[in-house]
Formats: sequence, C-alpha cells, structure tokens
Amino acid sequence: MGIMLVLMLVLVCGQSVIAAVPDPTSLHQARKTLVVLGAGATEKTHSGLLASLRTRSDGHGGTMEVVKSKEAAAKSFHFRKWDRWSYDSLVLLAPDLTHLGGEKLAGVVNDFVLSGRSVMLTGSDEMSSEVRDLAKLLGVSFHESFVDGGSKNTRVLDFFQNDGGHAEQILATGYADDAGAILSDAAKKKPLLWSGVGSSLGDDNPLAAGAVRAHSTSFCPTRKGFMSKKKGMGRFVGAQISLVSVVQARNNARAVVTGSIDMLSDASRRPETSNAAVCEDLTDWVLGYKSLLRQRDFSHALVEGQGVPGQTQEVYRIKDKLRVTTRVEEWSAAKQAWLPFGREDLQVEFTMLDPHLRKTFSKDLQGTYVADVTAPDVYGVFKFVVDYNRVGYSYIHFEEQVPIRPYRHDEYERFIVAAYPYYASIFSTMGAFFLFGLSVLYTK
Amino acid sequence: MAGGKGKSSSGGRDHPVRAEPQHGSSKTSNQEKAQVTGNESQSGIASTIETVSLVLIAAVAFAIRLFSIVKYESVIHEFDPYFNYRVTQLASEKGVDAFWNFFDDRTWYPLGRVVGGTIYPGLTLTATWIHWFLKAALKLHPVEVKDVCVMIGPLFSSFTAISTYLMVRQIKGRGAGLLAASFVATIPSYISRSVAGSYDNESVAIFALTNTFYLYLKSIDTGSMFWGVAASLSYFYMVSSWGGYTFIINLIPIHALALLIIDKFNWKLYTGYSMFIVNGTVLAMVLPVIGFNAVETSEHFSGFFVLALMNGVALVKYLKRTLTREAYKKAFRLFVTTSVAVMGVVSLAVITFAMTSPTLRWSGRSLSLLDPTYASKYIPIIASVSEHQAPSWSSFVNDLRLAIILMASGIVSCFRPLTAGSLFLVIWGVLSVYFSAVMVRLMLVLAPAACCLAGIAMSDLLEVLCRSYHLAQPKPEDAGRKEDGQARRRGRRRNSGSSQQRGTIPRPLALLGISGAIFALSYHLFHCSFLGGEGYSSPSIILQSRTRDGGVYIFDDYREGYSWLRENTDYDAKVASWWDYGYQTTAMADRTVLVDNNTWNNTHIATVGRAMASPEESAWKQFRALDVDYVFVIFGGLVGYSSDDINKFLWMVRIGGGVYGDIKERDYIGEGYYRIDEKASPVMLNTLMYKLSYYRFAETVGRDGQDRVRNTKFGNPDVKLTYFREAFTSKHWMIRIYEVLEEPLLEQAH
Amino acid sequence: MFKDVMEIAGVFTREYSKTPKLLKITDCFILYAVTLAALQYAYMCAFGSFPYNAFLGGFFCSVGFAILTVCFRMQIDPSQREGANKTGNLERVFADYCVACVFLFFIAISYVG
Repeated sequence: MGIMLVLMLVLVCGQSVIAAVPDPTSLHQARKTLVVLGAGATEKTHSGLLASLRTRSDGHGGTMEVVKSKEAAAKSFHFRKWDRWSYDSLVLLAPDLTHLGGEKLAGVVNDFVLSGRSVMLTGSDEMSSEVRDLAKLLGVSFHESFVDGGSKNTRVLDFFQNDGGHAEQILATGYADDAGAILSDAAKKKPLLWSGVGSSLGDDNPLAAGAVRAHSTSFCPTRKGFMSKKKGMGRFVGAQISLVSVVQARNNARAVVTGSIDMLSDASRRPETSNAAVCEDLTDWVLGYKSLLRQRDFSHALVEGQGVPGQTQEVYRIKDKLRVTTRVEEWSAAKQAWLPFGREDLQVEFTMLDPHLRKTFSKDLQGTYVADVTAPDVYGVFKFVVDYNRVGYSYIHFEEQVPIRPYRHDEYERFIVAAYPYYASIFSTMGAFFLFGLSVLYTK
Repeated sequence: MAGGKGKSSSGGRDHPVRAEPQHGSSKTSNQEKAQVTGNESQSGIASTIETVSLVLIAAVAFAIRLFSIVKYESVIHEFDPYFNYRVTQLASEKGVDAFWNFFDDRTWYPLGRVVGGTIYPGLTLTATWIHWFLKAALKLHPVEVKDVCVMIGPLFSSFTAISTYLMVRQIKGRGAGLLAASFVATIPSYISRSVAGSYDNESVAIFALTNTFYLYLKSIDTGSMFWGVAASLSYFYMVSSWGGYTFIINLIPIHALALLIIDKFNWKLYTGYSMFIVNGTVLAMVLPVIGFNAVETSEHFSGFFVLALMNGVALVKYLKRTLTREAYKKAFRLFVTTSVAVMGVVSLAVITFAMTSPTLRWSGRSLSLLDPTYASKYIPIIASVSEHQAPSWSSFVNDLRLAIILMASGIVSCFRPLTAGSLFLVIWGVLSVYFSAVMVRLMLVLAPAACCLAGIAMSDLLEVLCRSYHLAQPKPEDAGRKEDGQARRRGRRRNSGSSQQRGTIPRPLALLGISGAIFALSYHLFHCSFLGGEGYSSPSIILQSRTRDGGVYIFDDYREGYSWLRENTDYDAKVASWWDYGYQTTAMADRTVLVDNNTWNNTHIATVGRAMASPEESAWKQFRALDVDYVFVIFGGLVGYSSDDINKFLWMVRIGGGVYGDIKERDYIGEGYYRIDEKASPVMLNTLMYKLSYYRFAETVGRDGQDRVRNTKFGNPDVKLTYFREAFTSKHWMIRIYEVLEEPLLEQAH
Repeated sequence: MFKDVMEIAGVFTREYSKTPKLLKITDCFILYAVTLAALQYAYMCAFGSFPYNAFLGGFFCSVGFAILTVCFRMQIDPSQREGANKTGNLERVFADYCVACVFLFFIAISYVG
C-alpha cells in the first residue's frame, strides 16, 4: 500500500514536473519570484519595493521569497537542480553577489534567461565582476573605472541636472518613447532620482533599449573625475549613457539592468520624483504583468478567385483575393486573463525573398485582426509574415508558407472578341474544304 | 556467345539469293520493292530469315542494356532521371491533368518551378501510359511505375533498331537495313544513354528521331499525304521528348535545300516537306515548353525559308510548263527580280527582328553549339557541365568502334546512286560529326547516322563478297590485287558499269573476305557488350570498387545521406547544396531544395555559389535570408572520390562571380594553381565550402594525414564552426550534412 | 517592263484557259486560302497580336489548307504525270487529302482556343 502511494506520488510529481516545461508567455502568469538582497539593500531600506512586489505577487496568484545573498550563494540553496528551475523570476538587489545556488552567477542567470525566465539586475559602484559579466551577456556593458585603484567604481556625474547640487545624484528625464509599454505616462511626468554606475548598449543590438537615458550633460568620469579621452569610451558620455536598460531576448524573456540600487530604495521615493512609479512600472514589465502579447489562430482563406471562397486552398493562384485573420491577445494581470490587444499598428507582409505586399491589419468587432490582400502577379513560394517589434511588447514573429501557382492551362481567357476573325477564318476554311470536296467528287 | 551475333551477319550472307541486279542501278526504292516482290517465291526463306534476324536484333538491343540490373539493382541512375521519375510518379498517381499544370513548390525555393510549362512531356507521358496500359488492359498489377521507368530505355532501343531497319531498307535495301539495325542495337554510344535505369529523354528521343526520319523519307518517296501526316505525328512525338529536336528541324530544310540545288525537285518532295513543316510547326506550338518559340527563334527560321524557296521553285516550274518559251524567259527574269526584291525585304525584316535580341534569337544552348567558345565566355553554367566538353579522339573510337571506320565508306556508297534518302544520310552524317565534335553528349546524334552509313558500307562489301562467292567466276580480274577488303572495294568502284562485271573476285579471296567481315563484326559486338557491361551500366548513385581479393565493395553513401534527410528533418525543411544534387534530393530525400539540375535561373545558382564561397558568418546570413535549414556538401577525401564539391568549387566561384562582382576567381587560387594545402590562398581556407568539407577531418586521419583526392596536406587542420552544426556524415564521409543554426537568443555586449 | 508584264499576263491567260475544269476549281480554292492568310496577317499588323495563338492557329490553318490543296493539285495534274512517277487515281488522292485536311483542322482548332 505504501509502495503504491509512493509510486503514485512519483508519477504525479513526475507528471506535474513534465507539465511544468515553460511556454515563455505562460511563464509569467503564475510565478515563483525570488528576491535576493545584498549589499546596499535591506528589508528596511527597500521596504517600499518589497511591499509592492509582495502585494502584486499575492494579488496575481504567485509566490514571493526573499533571501539574503549569503544564503542564496550557498550550495544548499536550490536555484537550479538538474535542469529544473525552482523559480520563474529573479529580482537581484545584490550587486556584490558572485554565486547563486552554488554556481557562478553570470552562467546560471544567463541560462535562466535563455530558458525564458526574467531577471531584474541591479549594479552599484561595488558590483562584483560576475554582475558585470552577467550584464555583458545580456547586452549591457557597465562603465569600468575604479576610484583610486580600489574596487569602488566611479558614479555617473552630472553637474547640471542633479538633485541639490550633488553631482552624483542625477535627476534623469530622458525617458524613452515607448508608448506606455514599459513606463506609463504618469511615471514620465516627473524626473527620476538616480545614482550609480552608467552603462551603454551596443549600437547594433536590436534586443536592448534604454528605458531611461542620461541627459547630454552627464558623463561617466575617470578615476580622477574627468571625462575619458580614451578610444571607445565615447559611448559613456551624454545621452549615450543608458541609466536603466531593458532587454527582451528572442524567446521573449525579459531583463532590466540598472546601475543604481539606490533608485529602488525608500529614500528616493519622494513626492517630486517618480521613482515609486518607475519602480512599479519596471517591475510590472519585467515580471510579466504587463505588455505581454501572444498571437493565435493565423488563418487565410480565399475571398474571390479560382476555388471555393471562404476556404483555405491547397494552392492559391496568382491574383487571387485572400483574407488573412489573426488574433493577438494581451495578458491582463488584474483580470488574470488574455484580452484582445488594443493597438492598431500590426502589419502583415507577403514575402518572397523581399516583401511584395505589406498591409496593416484592421480590427473587426471581436477584436480579430483582418486584412484583405490580393496575391501578386508573380508566382512562387510566398510566405505570410507577421513581424511585430515594438519596444516593450513581446516579439511576435509568425511565418506561414503559401505557394502561389500560375494559371492552369484552362484558366486563360477563352473566346476573346479580338480573335473572332481568326475563328471565322478557320471555320470558313473548313467550309471551303467541304465545298471543294463536293466539287471534286461530283464534277466530271 | 557467338550465336545471336552470328545471325545478323548470316542475313547478309543470303543476300545474293534475290538481290542480283540491284546494285549500281538508279532505281528508286519502289522499283526495288517491285523487284523483290517479283522474286517472292524465291525469297520465302529469305524473308523468314529476315524476320527472325530482326526479332533477334531487337532482343539483343533489349538484353545488352540489362547489365546494370544484373550487376547492381533495378534503380534509377544518375541525376536527371530522378526528376523525370518523380514527375512520372505524380502523373501516374494523380493523372495527366495534374502533371500538365504541376507547379513544383519543393524546388528552386522560393521561386518555384512551373514544371508543366518547362518540361518536355514525351517521356513522362509515354511511361505513364505504358504503366496504365499494363495495369488496366493487361492487369499486370505488380508492375510499378519504377519498373516501367527503368525498362523504358531497353524497350525503346529495340524499337529504334526496328525503325532504323525500316529507314535504311527504304533507302538501300534489306541487307543494309538489317546491318544498320544491328549496329544501332549494340553501339556503345547509344547504350550509354539508354541503359536500363537511365530514364532520360534521350532513351525515347532517339527512337522518335529515327522514326521521324523513316516516315519523312517515306513521305518524300511516295508523295502520299497520309505518310506526311504520319511524319508530322512522329515529329510531334520527337518535339515532345527532347530539346534536340532543333537538329531535325534544321536538318530537314538543309536536305530539302540540297535537293533543290541539285535539281531533284518534284511534287513528292513538295508534298512531304511542306506538310512536315506546316503541321510540325503548329504541333510544336501546342507544347507549352516551346509555345511561340516555334515561330520566333532562329532555330526554326530555316524551315520557313526553305518552304518559301520551294514554293518559288514550284511556281517557276509551273510557269515553265504553262507559258510559251519566250514568255517564260521574260517571266523568269521578272520573277527572279521581284522575288529577290521581296526576299530582300523579308530577310531585312527577319534580320531586324533577330537583332532585337542580343543572341540573334538563337537560344543559349544552340549558340554554344554553333560557336564552341561561346559558352565559356558568356554562360559558365553551360561550360561547367561535364557532358558539354569536347570529346577526345579515344571517345570517338571507343563509342563507335567499327561504325566510325565504315562511315566514310558508307558516305561514298551513298553517292552511287544518289537518291533523296541517301543524300539525307550523307548530310546527317556530316552535320552530326561536326556537332559531336563540339559536345560529348551529342555523340548520341552521330551514333544512328554512323550506324546507318556503316550498315550500308558493310552490306555493299558483303554483297560483293557473297555474290562473287556464289558465282563461280573463272576470270580473276583482280588477281594481282592485295588481299584485303580495301582492294575489293576499289575493284568494285572501278567496275561501275553493268552489274554482271562486278564482284569478279576469285572464290578463295571472297571466302577470306567474308570470314574477315564476320570476324570484324563479331569483334565489334564483343567490344560493345563489354563496354555496355563494364563502362556504361553503373548508376552513378552507387559507386563500386574492387577489394584486394577481387570482390566488389559498394559505396552507398548518397542514398544513406538522402535517407537521413528524409527520416530526420521536417517535411518543410529547406536544403541547400550545389545544383548537381537537386533532382536526387527532391526525389529521394523529398525535401525542398534551392537549386537543381534544371539550371534555369542562373542568378539563383550564383547566389548559392556565392554563399558557398563566402566566409562562415556571411554565408550564414545569406542562407538565413533564403530560409535554409540544412546545407550539405559532397566530400571525397576519405575514400578518394574525385567528383566532390572541392573539385567543383572553382565552377561555383566562376558562376557566382559571373553575377556578383565581389567574388573574384583570382582570390581563391593559391600559389600557382588552385590548391588547398598550406600554400592555398587564405580566402579559400576561410570559405564555407572548405570548412564544411574539412570539419573534423584532421581529427580522423591525423594532422599529418592526407586528403586522398588532392593528395596534399591540410591548409588548415583546425576547422571551427560557430554558425553551423554537423548533423550527419555518411559512412565514407562522402555526404556531409550541416544544420544552419538559428539566431542566438541574446546579443552580447563587447 | 510594264509591257513585258502585260505580254506575259496575256500569254498566261491564254495558256491557262486550256487547263481542265477540275484544276481551275482547285486553283480558286487555293487563291481563297492564300487571300485569307494575307487578310489575317494584315489584321494582325493593324490591330496587334494579342491572342497570338489565335492568330497563329488561323494563319497556319489557311496556309496549311493552301499547301495541301496545291499538293492535291500536283497529284491530279495530268501534265505532271509524265516521267516514271505513278500518281494515284482521283479517289485515292482525295482520300489522302481528306485525312490530311481533317488532321490540320483538328490541330488548328485545338490550338486556337
């Protein structure tokens, strides 16, 4: 009996574990969040952030665990065990962390992100080299310049846009224009109080964006406090400095990287700064409570042309009129349900090597996106491509192969008016033959 | 071994029984036949032997092509037949309508290929209908389409033998016909293209060729419109089977022109020729692959030109008959001036029309025949095909053996007497010699001509010998001559008077001559069957070599690789490789390919060539833009297979460089010549082709090891791949399949 | 030159009237077919060649019919019968001719559509 129970348990557990292989978009819905507190962040200094995290986590059906960095670094801590992750999202408020669950931080969190899970990474002027490497793997390079040969990094300086004359306490207003996908409009009204190590994104990185950029008067100083003249350090000057970076991997895993742990603290949540709102929005975004999209039910059918209208044919013909429909849904954390996506800038392309057609979808009453396209005059193997790449929203990339054939031999025009003389001539020739035959045979 | 082959020469031996007065006279074949029927009672045995010989010749033609089935297995050979087979499968399963409108989206991704409009349908439809007939009428259910496809070569070559017999019998006589048929049945050049398993257009087309010629000559000889219709139908079949039909449509006008020049115009020629041209053109236009080309390309213009000329000649002759002499003289002058003027205007119009295209309205393939240097200058793809190289002397002798030697004598025989039919053979022989010297694959057009002419020569020779053997002639006119065949022929030529004077060779010499001829024929036959068995029956998809104890070792890597692709990849996966393997990949691995042997789109092939010649990252981007999932290369370094992709690489560079300016052949050539050892050019060592071929090879044979084809050391033994992952390497490393990796999930910062 | 043409035309008409009736009828039909072909060509030049296959079908049909009738005429022309060539009797030649014409019409119709 006991053996049976154990077996059943193993089976059930085994099954649930197998069922827990994550679908990246469903990952963020019921989550287990881990918050690691380290140097510069304690329960007291960051209580506001932790409280808001907890409220949202409890409200949206997830769990949250807060551990100290020492405990998290220990080998006994179960972060990853044999390819199974114990948590779905990670908030790292520990810039000095070097190991997590016994493994090196950069490697394990990189794998964490590649598996589709999200991470919020904070650095500070005392951040470890592991945190730096992790940020590099995510696509964000922190500025590196130690003060007086020590291990403390220089902070971003701005002598004009700062809080009360302290050059290191920057008031940032360079919010990215993201149409509310990450930072809401309310958060963008007031400046952000920020103090920490600056970072820069590669120019050619399509996955990373700066959510909050520094003003043109900011710079990352050398250890002597001046602007660096070295080659390649030009990206750590002015608006090229990214204070808060957001990265969305190609599997829609999200990461937020910032060099300031003080930005998230209680001390910076003042009525004239928007830190509280910004923190709320950033954590909403990275933990998947907002701007999460999924695309479903792509279908195409014939409207007019050769074949049965309203049905998907095996092969369409050139110049056929096709109707393409798809559904895009946005996750609503409040209602814990997928609701139709509101924006109207979704496009579909009809591509063979290069797009031959591009049409913007229009929405019908149920919120489905509908587009009517006419197959071009060229035959070939085309594909419908829906490619949606907006800062902050999940990537939607969908391709469906649709061959387009040329006319059949019996689909050309027949009985063309211009050709009537030729038809007449042929029939008259046949008549002439008949008459000729008669005359030959019956004249003597 | 000598049984079947002996029979064909015995048919000639019985010649003198009925054919006494025929040689040397200028009678037409009608009278010849009258003569024959006159001796009907005598020739009862002769016609039996003739029929039996013909049946045996057809059987030999069939059997000599079965070596590949006996030695290997009943499999489709080479590359092109795989496409034909795939299309035939489709036609027999889904019907001719589906085949006619077939749009193939599994090849030339992403352009697709309109198969219905670009294929010569004769072969496919023949096989489909034979299969239906076997299944529906004869109820032979276990026969599959593949069996029909494999056997169609041998079957149609027996038909070719029969129609060659009919054609040469029409021209010269029965003995010549039988000999020509026996030559055609066994000649190695034709065997190579119609062996069992070689399911290609030529297997059916040569039958259509000889049949068309037979019916055309018959229609010219009888002047009957019925035979004209038959000739047009046979021409239609020829047009639907092979692109080489342009040879016919130019040969027949040239022949007609020659007849006009030597003043052999009569109403029969007019009937036969004009019906052929008019009906033939309209029928050719029915086929989508030709369509309006029949009236717009230079290949067809000669037919119309000679037709106009012939109409002019007919009109002149009519006027000559109708008008009085003086009126005729004046009319003739007038007619000539006006017609010259009119023809001048028309020619100007036609030439202007022709000038509108840079190639003067000749298609690229025809131009590369007319000007042998054209292809290598302008169309590297045509120049790169191994079949398009010029043949060497040894291949002439090897492929045609006795026929090429007797051919010259046959041409001389054709002039005595010169009939329309024999003039045709002469022109055909001379023209095909020229074309076969341009391209090796056109030796196939020379083969039937050489066989017919050789048959005629041999039959003349045997006739003289046999007659002199039978007629006990006491007058040894040529007693002082040398005792070999050449002297006998010279003797024959001198006695061109009455037939009774000829063949006056003493009996012992005649006997010697006959046995010499039999020996020559048997030796020729032995050579043909040896070559057929050893040389031409290997399917290039399976390779073999001998082990040290004399056994046979089989390399089946190609099929191994294709089967891996078929079993282990998605149905919609796209596979990139060089175009040689395209047909086989779509047929056996059943995956979408980028380029295949049809080579209709040079730019697309150049795109693939450029990707193969680029460094790894750039090649990866190019392949990702084309949605490629797998790339494979053929590598012969482990076993010494020399037709691998590294040896073909310079052609990839040339073809790619012909379209894209950034690929320059100079960059890939190392010190002195094209090499891949330590003195190779660094650009070459960095190409995707080099990396994919030599990945992990140094680990296997050792860093000091050698590539067994190039026999040099490695230029770069440590090959690392970041954007491709090795998916499969076959047993002898001949086919190596790599997966194209997707974009990385995260982009790292620097 | 013009005088020459008139003279030749005169001689021709005189000689031509001696031809048998059957041949004259044949010549009429030949001329008819040739004019039809010329008309179609003129139509194509004037109005463009849009249904090109229709033009080719009609043109070749008329030209083919003309040629076939010329062949027929050649075979039944008694003045051609000198020499060793036997020409068939009228019925046989006509049967041949019928087969050829029907074949021509068949392919012309199938091509024109």
